[in-house]
Amino acid sequence: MMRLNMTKTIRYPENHLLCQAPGSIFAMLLLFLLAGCASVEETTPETSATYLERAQTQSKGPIRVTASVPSAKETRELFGAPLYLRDIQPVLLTIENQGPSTLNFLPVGVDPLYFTPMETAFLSKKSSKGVSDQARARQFYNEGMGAVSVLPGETRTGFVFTSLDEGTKTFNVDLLSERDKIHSFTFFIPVPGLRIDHHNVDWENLYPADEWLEFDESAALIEALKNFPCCTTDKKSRDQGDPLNLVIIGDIEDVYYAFLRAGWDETETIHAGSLQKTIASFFSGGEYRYSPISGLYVFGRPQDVAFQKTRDNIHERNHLRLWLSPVRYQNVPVFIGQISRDIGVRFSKWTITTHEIDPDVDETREFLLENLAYSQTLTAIAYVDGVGKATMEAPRKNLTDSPYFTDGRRVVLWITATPTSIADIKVVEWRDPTDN
Amino acid sequence: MGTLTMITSLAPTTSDDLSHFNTGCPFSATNSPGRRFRRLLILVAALMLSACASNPYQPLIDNMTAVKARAESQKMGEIRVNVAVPSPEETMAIFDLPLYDRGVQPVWIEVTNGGATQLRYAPFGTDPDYVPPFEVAYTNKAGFSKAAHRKMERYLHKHTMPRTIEPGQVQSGFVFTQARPGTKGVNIDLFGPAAEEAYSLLFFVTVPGFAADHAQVNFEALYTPAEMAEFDLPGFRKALTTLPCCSSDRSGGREGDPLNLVLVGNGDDVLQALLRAGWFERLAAEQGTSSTAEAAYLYGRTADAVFRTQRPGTGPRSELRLWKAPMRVDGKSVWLGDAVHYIASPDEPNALDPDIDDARDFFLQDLWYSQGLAGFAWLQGPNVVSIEQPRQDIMGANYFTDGYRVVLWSSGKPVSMLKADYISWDKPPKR
Repeated sequence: MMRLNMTKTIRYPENHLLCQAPGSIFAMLLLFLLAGCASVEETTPETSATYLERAQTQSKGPIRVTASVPSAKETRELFGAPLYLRDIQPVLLTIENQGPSTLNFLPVGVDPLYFTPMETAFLSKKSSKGVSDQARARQFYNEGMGAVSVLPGETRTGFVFTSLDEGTKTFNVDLLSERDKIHSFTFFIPVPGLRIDHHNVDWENLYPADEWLEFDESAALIEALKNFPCCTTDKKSRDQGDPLNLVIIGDIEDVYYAFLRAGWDETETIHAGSLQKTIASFFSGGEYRYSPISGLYVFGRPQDVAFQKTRDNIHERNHLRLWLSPVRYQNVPVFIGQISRDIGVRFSKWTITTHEIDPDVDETREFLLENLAYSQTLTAIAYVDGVGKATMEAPRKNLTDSPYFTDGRRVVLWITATPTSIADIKVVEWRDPTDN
Repeated sequence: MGTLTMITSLAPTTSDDLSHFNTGCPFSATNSPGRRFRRLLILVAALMLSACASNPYQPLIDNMTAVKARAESQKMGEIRVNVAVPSPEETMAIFDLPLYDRGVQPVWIEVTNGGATQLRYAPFGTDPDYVPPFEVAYTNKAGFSKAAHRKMERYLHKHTMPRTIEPGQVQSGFVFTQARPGTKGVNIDLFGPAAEEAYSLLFFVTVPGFAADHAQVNFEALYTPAEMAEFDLPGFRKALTTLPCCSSDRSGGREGDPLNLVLVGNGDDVLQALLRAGWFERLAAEQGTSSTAEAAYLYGRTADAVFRTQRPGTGPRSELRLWKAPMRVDGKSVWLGDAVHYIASPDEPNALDPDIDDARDFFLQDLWYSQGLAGFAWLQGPNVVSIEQPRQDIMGANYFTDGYRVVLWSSGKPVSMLKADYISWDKPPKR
């Protein structure tokens, strides 16, 4: 009975779950209490494969690196302490050096804010009972791996204690050899325990075969991009929401990894576990970087992928939603999307409270362009029309009545999987620059 | 007059406005704890509403004159860039907002594009966490009327550094960065259409009111010429073995942490390398506030400079203490010091990580990754302290160590990671 009600409160506010009104904070608190003391890691399913079975190996010549990331539950079993609750995530690395020169492994490359083994032991003190402080410290110290040299013919293995990333763990393993070479390995390792939006998307069957549009010429693509809807809508396609000012051209995997590399977090689909985490973070004032994101509609469906980037606190983050369009350009998928920057919370009649977004949506758009450029994920950019101009003096409004103004352009971003220097990004002139 | 109207028009709405907090919540009306909670809400809301006074918004861009006058200037090809950072007081006068108190530090930039192509300025390159003007306005609107908030938005928007600088044009304005005390490192990236038209300029700007601890030290007067020893590289290696092993307490009676870092470089080089690696200076005003940094003595004085890194949300992460040593190698200054990690424990904010070797290795990596490392070498020492039998420092904190000392040649100019020289003295420590 109570559980039924709970689902209702989940759906009630149209906007972001976290910004429930003070009035419904009580509902959340109640829900939180009802949910009891279940810990974060028990709310979502584990896969049957162990972290060792999920390990990934990469080789470059005579160097092999194997990495795996234990889930929250596995971590607790391994170390006898709920490290995930302390925002610590162990990463197990094995470095095999069959080459002729010594390799220096630098944990700062994995995470500049890594936790030392002793620090991790100290932070586990309260929760791992029945083990002496000394024994625990020894365990972490022995199993941890700091900056080490791996001599020719040697294999080193150990845990690096990193800052927590749920969902897909993204990191580099940098090995410097004495011969002035850096060997860099980039890992993307999914960690069970988080339900991600787009993992459920059936990309192949989003559109019937005869709805796909293939373009090879830029003129045809430009025309199609101009004619995409200006804005997101609500579920019934009645009201117009945020402007669709992003066009992303890239393979699905590449797009996904580009955003991870640029520091965006995946979002969870809404389910009881995620709500509970969100509430916990609301009350602790901490960051819960994966909280679910509400649905906006394009092509008659909510976003296929949502990412967010946390800033100072839970109320301030950037949201980004992408839809795979039925267009392919030179055989590469084309996404359309929307980005907004939360700048605060205000009271609203319909959703009780809502996020105020930065009305200068072009600023937010350009921020994303720079963010992706600095993380070396772009090969080219262009601008097209299609959003429609709105001035600062006569702004338009989104679905939650936040005003915005714009030059009416969409930025077109070509995504690459190969790191590309910011200076090498091609600027494609699709618009007549004199046409403002 | 305006203020009064505002208050009276708001006051009676308090209870009405609150009623809609409940309309949507299926729980709040039926539970008595809910009612109690609501009362708290009403209190909070009343407090919030009472803050909605209508101060006039009175910024004055003319207050920039003194700030602009001390701007630092760099030229690259046909591009000239000027940068200045207003102090907290100047910021208040220019924006009529205590931005520093809110963690925001405005940086003034002026770009002269003498080239033939359009340039794009990327604020992301100055600070990936820069705050756009409408957000600055939104987070500072408390206490201002709606009209004043609008005025504030326009003012901040108008004085924000634009992204586009046309050929032949001069553009100037502010980027709102995350505030950091001490010398402000400001990176300006400008991009033209072609790859060779990418410009990157780095400024280190002194901000009035934020004197660093090392600015108080008269380094020239620390040692007489007779006390300063000059070495070449082989002599330096030998001389390092004669240095004191550890800091001590004030009286010299009790041994402190091992001095496991030797940094080579002139003051400016060391400072630039550290700032680029994200270390914060200790402000002169903070001296005497940290018990650990104040307790350690060498050459009869506390550290000449203290730097720290932060772990977001939990406070200090690492601390570096440096003393200028009475020696020079190949004409460069030598600094002796140590590094410690704080443990990110909310219960014990001053708890130290006993693994001081990790702090030492972290510092090496940090300089390396931030391209501040020109070269390094290892020296084995006699003072091995095992994890089983840790030693205590002056404050009674445990530590253990492999006894190694790392010698780092710092570089103010960025050095590619691959170009750092490895000088093979002793074999690196083996863990």
